[in-house]
Amino acid sequence: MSIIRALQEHLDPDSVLCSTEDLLCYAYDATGKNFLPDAVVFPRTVEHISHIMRVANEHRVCVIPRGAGSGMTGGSLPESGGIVLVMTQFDRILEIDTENLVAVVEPGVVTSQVHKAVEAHGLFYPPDPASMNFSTIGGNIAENSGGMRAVKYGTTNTYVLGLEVVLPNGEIIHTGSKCVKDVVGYNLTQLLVGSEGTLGVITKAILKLIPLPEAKKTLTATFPSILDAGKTVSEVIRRKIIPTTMEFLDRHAIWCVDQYLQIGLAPGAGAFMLIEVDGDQDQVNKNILKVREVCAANKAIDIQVAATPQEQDELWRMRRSVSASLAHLKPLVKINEDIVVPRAAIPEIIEFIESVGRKYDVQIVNFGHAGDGNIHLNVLPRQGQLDVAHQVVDEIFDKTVLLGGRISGEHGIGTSKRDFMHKNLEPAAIAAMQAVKQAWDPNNILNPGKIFPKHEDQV
Amino acid sequence: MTDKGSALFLEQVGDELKKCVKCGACQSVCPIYLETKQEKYVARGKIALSQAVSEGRLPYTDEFDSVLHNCLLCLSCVEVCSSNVRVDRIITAARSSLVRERGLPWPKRMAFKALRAGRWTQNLLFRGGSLAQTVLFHRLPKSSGLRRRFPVPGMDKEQVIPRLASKSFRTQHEEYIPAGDDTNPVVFFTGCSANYIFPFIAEAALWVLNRLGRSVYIAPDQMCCGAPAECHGDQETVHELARKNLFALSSRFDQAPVIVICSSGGYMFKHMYPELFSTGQEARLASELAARTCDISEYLVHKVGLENIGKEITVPCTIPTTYHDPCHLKRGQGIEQEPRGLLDLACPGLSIPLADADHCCGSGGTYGLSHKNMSRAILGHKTETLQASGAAQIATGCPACMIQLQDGISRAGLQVEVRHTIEVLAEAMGWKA
Repeated sequence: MSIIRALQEHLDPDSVLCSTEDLLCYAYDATGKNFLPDAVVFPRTVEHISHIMRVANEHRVCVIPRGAGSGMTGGSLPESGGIVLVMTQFDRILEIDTENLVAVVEPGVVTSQVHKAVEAHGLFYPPDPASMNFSTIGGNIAENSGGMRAVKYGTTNTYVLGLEVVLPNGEIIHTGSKCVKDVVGYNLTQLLVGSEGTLGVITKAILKLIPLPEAKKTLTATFPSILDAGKTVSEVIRRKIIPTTMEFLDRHAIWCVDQYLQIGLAPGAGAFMLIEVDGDQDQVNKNILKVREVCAANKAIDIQVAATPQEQDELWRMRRSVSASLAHLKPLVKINEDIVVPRAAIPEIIEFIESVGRKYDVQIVNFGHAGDGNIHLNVLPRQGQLDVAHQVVDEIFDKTVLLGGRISGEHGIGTSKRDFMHKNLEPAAIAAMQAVKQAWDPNNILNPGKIFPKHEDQV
Repeated sequence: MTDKGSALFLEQVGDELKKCVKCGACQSVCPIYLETKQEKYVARGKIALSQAVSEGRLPYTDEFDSVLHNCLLCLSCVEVCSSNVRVDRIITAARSSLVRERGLPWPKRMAFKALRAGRWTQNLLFRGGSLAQTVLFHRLPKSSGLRRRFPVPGMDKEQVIPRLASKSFRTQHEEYIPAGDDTNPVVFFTGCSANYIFPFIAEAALWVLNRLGRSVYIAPDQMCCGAPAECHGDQETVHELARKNLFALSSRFDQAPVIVICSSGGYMFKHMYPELFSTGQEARLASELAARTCDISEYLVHKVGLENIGKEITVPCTIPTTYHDPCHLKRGQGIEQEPRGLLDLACPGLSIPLADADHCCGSGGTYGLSHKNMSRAILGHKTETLQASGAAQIATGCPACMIQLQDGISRAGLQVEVRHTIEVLAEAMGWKA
């Protein structure tokens, strides 16, 4: 393949891999689907990427940017072959500016490394996707990742002030700035956040930081049913308390994660909740008491407050393990959905999900970010239930939309959800997005096939 | 792999391979991935390749073989995996399929043959080696090891290798060393390193056990635990050694605790032996041995008690001491608080933490010999945290880690002593080497 020779001309020989072994290792992401790329490239400078994009345009070969390959919707899958552009060598934290409260980082930095680095300065970068110990900032920005603290602090987009980006044609541009206010032209920064690697390759990001809260406390509570947990969420918010996180696990998720950590999570419980509040010490003490009251009033069986930071860390480690631990149920497939509803609608959507599961006799495991309305529901069909499972998902999506919700809260669309875009967006809205893609990437080089419904993807 | 080979491999680990959901969490801990940032070296990549091989999408290539051997078996990926994929089992099964098909390279074949020899032959080999090393190597100042005198292929001038003792531990002691009241016998498994290289560790353990009223039976026919053969995929040797140890360690006092002072030995007895035998006397003995086996720190803390040991501390250690977690002790056996509890007693107020104490030191059995640069890069992080800790002494519970730590310390020019936890405790109780 001549493109490989063209790439090798400008890159170190060990930065272009094309052995079968290497190709097999960049064929998948956390969806578990496999598509073999034609080459894997590890750029080290922004000029490398610029060169790669020009060569790719000349040869009409597509380029798929990739961070840690931990995405849940196929955003980094080389669905139609091409070059996988692995950004892990861009792994430097370039600057922590304590006077302007920003950090400048390269996209391959692992999210929890950013946390660690800025917290050493008493600063805080709140987005904390469950994968934060391995997913990269670049991937988080491309997917506009959320996380547990989104209830109070919002998602990744809230913290991206500016980007350096290589456009599909190889041009290098800079969007946004360190400035708090910035209205110079279209807000390309926020267009790129969540664009899933279809519009440009992020090579640098300016992140907004805030002061690190002085204290935090974590409470766990078990409930007889998931509905009681849902009501607790609504009640806490109604009482004007915004916890840092309000996570829930249903009984199946409790069982799975206990298979891994063996911490003896209340086996008879219908739901388990993890609630954290932060702020100054007095406020934290006051709020945790209020949360406790609300839990008790909603039939919580067992309420405990973590005594030490180690205990808190253990609890969050447990929560972060839930998704992968569902493998313990040995499902035929795991249909992993990521709906979000306005948070007041949480009890109603949970009730609906449970009833659909019963109606079709399909196992559904629910867990997620109750506090911001984002539920990770996993439909786990048995042999012969695949069609029914898709019916179940379809009905849940329709109900979600009816309640004013969205089909994806934080995982993105990728390849997994592109056929459902129309449930949330009018045809004209999808067309407007496609027009942007067409303008930025006329040859459809960068991450083709992602986001947009397949049959309409004949750009 | 041939069809037959891959069928057997798949039968052994097919279920493990299926458990991986490709979430990528292993990227956060794999020491080799963190150095290379290349997917083929992380568990998820190795699993993807193993799946491809087992499904016939990839032949058993030399590259696949080299990827599988680029693993420390440190178990960090196993610890972080929430779907409990036993990556170690996949790696060793794949390695042993290869050994079945291609045989072992001759140096390994000779080495493992020596491990299987009886104690008389081993003693003879050991005495020969002990003599030869005085000709071949310089002794370093203090007791830290040896450097080569003449060029040796694959070994640079700075490499520190452990020195064989002049006399092995087991030849210097009676089989049975009774304590005062003789009611609490324990069976002592010394392991190869403490028998041939660091006999003073075994001496310290023996002294402490006796001092605390435990009679010690040093089972005379004990063999290598088999860990080196296990990690090189030589299942035949592992089975033979395991069988011999099962009988040797139950020849007398077959209900008594078996005390182990090397982390890999304990790990093999507790977790690997029971998986080797499914029926018969061996299976029964293996499950009994698994239940009887105690790392020395585990035994002291849970069966003797910190309070009783505290009363015996007469010469507390006066230098800042830190602790490194051996992979096979912490992740392999869940033992992390026990050694620290003992060090807190032995070094009152001077037992200090080490950052990332449970990160692998890069030793990985013989990994350091076969993957010198990678092993050294990983060791470099350990040496850095050690220097930052301000400790003048580092304790650990694994002789292989001790050799590796010593190499890192010599290279970095640090003034830090490497000790086994039991040595530090024994000295605080009044033992003199």
